[in-house]
Amino acid sequence: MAVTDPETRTPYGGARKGEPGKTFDEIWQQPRGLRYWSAVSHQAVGKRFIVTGFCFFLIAGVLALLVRTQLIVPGNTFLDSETYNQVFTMHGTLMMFLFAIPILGGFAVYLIPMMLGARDLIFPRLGAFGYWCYLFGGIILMSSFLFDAAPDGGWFMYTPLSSNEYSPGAGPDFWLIGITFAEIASVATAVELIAAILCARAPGMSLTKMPIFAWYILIFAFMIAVGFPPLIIGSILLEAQRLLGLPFYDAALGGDPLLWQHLFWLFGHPEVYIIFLPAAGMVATMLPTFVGKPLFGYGFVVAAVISMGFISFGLWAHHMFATGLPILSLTLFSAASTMVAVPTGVQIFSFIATLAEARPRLTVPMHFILGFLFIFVLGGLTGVMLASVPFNLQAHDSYFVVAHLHYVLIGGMVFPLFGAFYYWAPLFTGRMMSEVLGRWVFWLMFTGFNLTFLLMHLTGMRGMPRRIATYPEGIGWDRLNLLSTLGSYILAAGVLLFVVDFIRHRRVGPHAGRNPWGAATLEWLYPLPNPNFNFHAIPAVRSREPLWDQPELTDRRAERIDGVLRGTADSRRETISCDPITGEPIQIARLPHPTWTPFFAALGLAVAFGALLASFYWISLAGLCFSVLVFLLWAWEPSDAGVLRPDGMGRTLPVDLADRRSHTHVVVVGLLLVLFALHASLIFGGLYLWNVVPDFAELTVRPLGLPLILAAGAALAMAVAGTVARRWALSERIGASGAMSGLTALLAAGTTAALGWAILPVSPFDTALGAVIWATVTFVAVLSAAAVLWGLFNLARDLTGATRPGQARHAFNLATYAKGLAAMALATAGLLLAFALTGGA
Amino acid sequence: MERGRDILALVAPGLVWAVHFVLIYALISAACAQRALIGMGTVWIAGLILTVLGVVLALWPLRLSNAESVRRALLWSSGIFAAAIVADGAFVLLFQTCGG
Amino acid sequence: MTDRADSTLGVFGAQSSLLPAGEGAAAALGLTNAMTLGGAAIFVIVMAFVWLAWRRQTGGRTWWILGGGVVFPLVVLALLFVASTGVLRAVAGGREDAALTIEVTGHQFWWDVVYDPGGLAIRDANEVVMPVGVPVRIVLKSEDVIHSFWVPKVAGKMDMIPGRVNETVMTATEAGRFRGQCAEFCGLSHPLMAFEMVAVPPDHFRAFLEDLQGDAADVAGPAARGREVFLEAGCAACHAVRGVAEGARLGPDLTRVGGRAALGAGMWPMNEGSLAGWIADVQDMKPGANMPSYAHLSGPDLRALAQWLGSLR
Repeated sequence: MAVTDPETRTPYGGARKGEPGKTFDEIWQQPRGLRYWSAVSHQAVGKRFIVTGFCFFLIAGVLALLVRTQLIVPGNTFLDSETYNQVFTMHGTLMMFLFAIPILGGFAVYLIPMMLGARDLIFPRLGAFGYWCYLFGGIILMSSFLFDAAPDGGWFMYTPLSSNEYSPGAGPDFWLIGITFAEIASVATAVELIAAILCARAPGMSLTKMPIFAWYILIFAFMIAVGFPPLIIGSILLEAQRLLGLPFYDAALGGDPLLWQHLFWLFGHPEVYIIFLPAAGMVATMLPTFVGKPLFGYGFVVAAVISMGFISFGLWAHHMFATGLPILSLTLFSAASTMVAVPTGVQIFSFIATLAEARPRLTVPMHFILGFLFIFVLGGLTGVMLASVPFNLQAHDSYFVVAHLHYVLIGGMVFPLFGAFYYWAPLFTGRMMSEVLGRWVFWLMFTGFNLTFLLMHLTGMRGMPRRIATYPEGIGWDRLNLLSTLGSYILAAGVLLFVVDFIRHRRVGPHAGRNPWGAATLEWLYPLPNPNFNFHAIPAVRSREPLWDQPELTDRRAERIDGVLRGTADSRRETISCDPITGEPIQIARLPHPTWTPFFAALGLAVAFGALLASFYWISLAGLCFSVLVFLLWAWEPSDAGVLRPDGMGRTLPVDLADRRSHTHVVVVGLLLVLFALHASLIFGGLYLWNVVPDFAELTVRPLGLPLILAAGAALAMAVAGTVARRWALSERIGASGAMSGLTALLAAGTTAALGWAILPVSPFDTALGAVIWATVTFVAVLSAAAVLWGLFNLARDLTGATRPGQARHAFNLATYAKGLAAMALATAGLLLAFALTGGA
Repeated sequence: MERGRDILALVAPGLVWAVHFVLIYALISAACAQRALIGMGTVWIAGLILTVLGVVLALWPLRLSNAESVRRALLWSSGIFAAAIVADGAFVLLFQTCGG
Repeated sequence: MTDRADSTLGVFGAQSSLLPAGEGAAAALGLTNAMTLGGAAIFVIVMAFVWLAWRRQTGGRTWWILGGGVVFPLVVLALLFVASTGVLRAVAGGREDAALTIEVTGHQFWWDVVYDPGGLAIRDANEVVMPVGVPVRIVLKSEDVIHSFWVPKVAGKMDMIPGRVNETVMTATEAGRFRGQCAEFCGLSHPLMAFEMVAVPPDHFRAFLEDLQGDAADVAGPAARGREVFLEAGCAACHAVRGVAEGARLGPDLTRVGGRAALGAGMWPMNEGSLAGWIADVQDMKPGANMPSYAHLSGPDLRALAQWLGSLR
């Protein structure tokens, strides 16, 4: 089919979604009233994450005060044991899952597009979907208080304490389901941030010119994508054990309680660094502003952040030093644990070197940065102590660890976060927070914090274990606990004063104007508060500190600044999308307008999860189907791809390109990364049980060989069919491509059927290994079902004429997905075949 | 760092470290868990080979990149990973059994 | 050893790793002291750096990052790693030399203790007696959820995991009573799961074992009525008292209960009053325990039972 003149070609269906007759400003306006909740733009979603996260912080903080109040005197009866256990469980859970990660993700969602020169995140609906999942997951978890079934097994949910036998109530179910749901949100946000950072930057912003914060967030997002899956799998397996009786962790049937600990800490240890990285990124962003010089050693910091992203995955078992692992293993993890001090040290010294560059201004955020250095360095040093096994065996699960982890998390995350609130508040509200109150907030928090937690090191060395609701009098813990509790009240007073200041500043804070701190990064380009579209025209960036080095950005009114994509061609929201490495524009990305689809997709899932808790399985299934339907509608919308548009700076760029570097492809690759991590967690579980409980591995019935070979063949053929569909789509053979998509779907179904046939003789109820085999095949089956839906979806689009010439993204991305799925199916079939060949019953 | 190859050079040592770590962990698990698949001799030899190989591969990307902006950072990140590989691998030689 | 000693309840430092009375704890304390001093010195130096950087605008130097961030940590960490691996191997080694084995099994929320499980297999509970200066192999198991065996004054902790058998070696270097406590969160009464480790001279230990082997002594008077109550009320379904009712293992062995310094797994001083209170009101004193409260026992019966139990030493 001949390509018509791109300039005159009407946008395919894009006009339907576009809002013709509206001005640029109107198109980008945030909807008002009830419809505000349909907003998907990063400013709205980011604020929602931040506000919700802060609410959870306050709730979890109150819980912490309850804990401290209970421990103020020995033998206290303020809370009974059951309540106390619920309180400390929820304190940890809320802080780790519903406060730290989401609020940092919220800051990233809010800041990244502004810093990188984008009008919005590149997948705004995914961000909105993530937010709703997070909110609903949080509500499910919190609702356990209403049913008097709050989880009380600790935020680490060790089994068998969390099994049906020892926790017959619904507490663990609330925890597992609520948290898994909220984790889906974190993973969705992470994949979205990866795509946003790699694909939507200002023209000319290569990776080396990226603000350091974006590097931190990029690694943060990758770590979430790889680090959360082990816990998601662990939680699903535990819930399946509770619900269906599959014996994954049941020692009586060849399971192992330590498998849960491995999966939990495979997530749990990187989690600490996941929390630390964005906060350190905030420090690395604020610090240069107040020093007035660029971050010293940018390259070193980037290298340190990357190496931290890797090395922090090799430490998980240092939470398991006392579980009786062989000394050789302990030593491996001890060695790996100490190594993580190096990238940490590089960052700290890089911050110190930056301080020496020029006379720093002692503002409120600067107070928090100094507080961060003080507290975090101390926490890091006690962390090194804990990497020493003999010391760890004494300190583990004692108040020493409580002290250490609060030094690392409050010092490494909460202090930078409060600094960030003071620093970026003008961006949210257009007004400055109080410099006077801010100092009070800081000093209250700093004194209260150190009084509370410094003493706990000693309490722990004097033998006080964690998680005890009462303690006996006179053995040396009384006075220390009293002082810690008093300290916690001072800390709380600081937080309360912060809330007061925040509410106050929205009314009476001085107007911020333009770039109130004299910062260097693009989020300060406009007079505050920022317009919802961030940029009238997206400026070219030549420097890492554009506002300092590029006078053309600061010498005129913000809306006059030169750049690409001024105005709008098709009454659509759009932003520029770049080559992931060089930052050169390669396409114009069309962005969604306000829509309810993410809300309803998440709502369907919420119904599914909620009904699962109440054991209404049919409602659960209905919710899931509803959600899938909404996703299909979401994906069905007419594509804008295939047209060319001028970018306003002399280039003509395609809209929504089908290419390896395009954002949709990057997000599919990111998704595959998550899926690989999920799959690898299952494989780890299987190999682990096979290795650690060999007797039961021998008892496990072997899968059938022939169907496994068939499955492998079908998986390979599926990858080939997907690839052919991609090629034909790119050469505009729409019908033929559709047929190949259909074939891909068929082969995906065939792969699953063959795998299912192979494991029919294996019982999931007799041994834990058999259960893991079933879980792994089920996982591949679910992914195959997605491939089936996707292939049929593409076929339907191609047949109904929804696909227009030049549009190939749907087939392009399916091919990549099919290859990834084939890899997982092959690995599964291969391992099962190896298992089948090793004989057995 | 403008080119893909330089990015690869920055990420490659980390990947080498990750693979090395997983393999060492697998070796130790194979020797020390219930099944006792392999003996300590195998752990020694395989660990040594893996560690030497790991160090070489972690430092290899230094040859890949010439961009001045990357080289210094790369030098140190390869160095850090190489040191981490040595730390994760060499200690095995201190042990005669899984227990000491 | 049959005399009831004072328990460690209310004794300052009875559970403190900073006052070691065992080889493992002493070695760990050495490391702790060295690392605390070293860590404090590093902290002061880093903070001094911050202060200097703040006061004098010398400009950043790359060697700070490389020296402070890479070289210095690597050197310190290598030293620390070698030292702590050495300590670890010294502490954890020597299992083969241990002449005596004590098997401790964790239950919600008490400890089942068996001396020399391969040979004599004498059962006791909630108190671990061992000879001073002799390495003792401690075998750790769990019957229900994960617990952790920790006597900070003697050695570091080791978990008790269902389906697994963990082993550790402990050597007490001083005679005395040391408080231990479950260190892994194990449910409702996790804070009330303590015990005492009693280190005695080796000849005392031999005497203790011989003593323990025997059956519970016969008694006369009101205490004899207590024995009848014990059997009538069904206590023997869970508790064994050698020579009276044997075999039950759901609850702690009571053959020597009156000789223990503390009641309820190291939580309350042992006397007839607290024994009576305990029997009548277990669920209030220790929520979630598997034993029901025997509030329905009549006052005289309860007193007799407490008196009889108190006499079992």
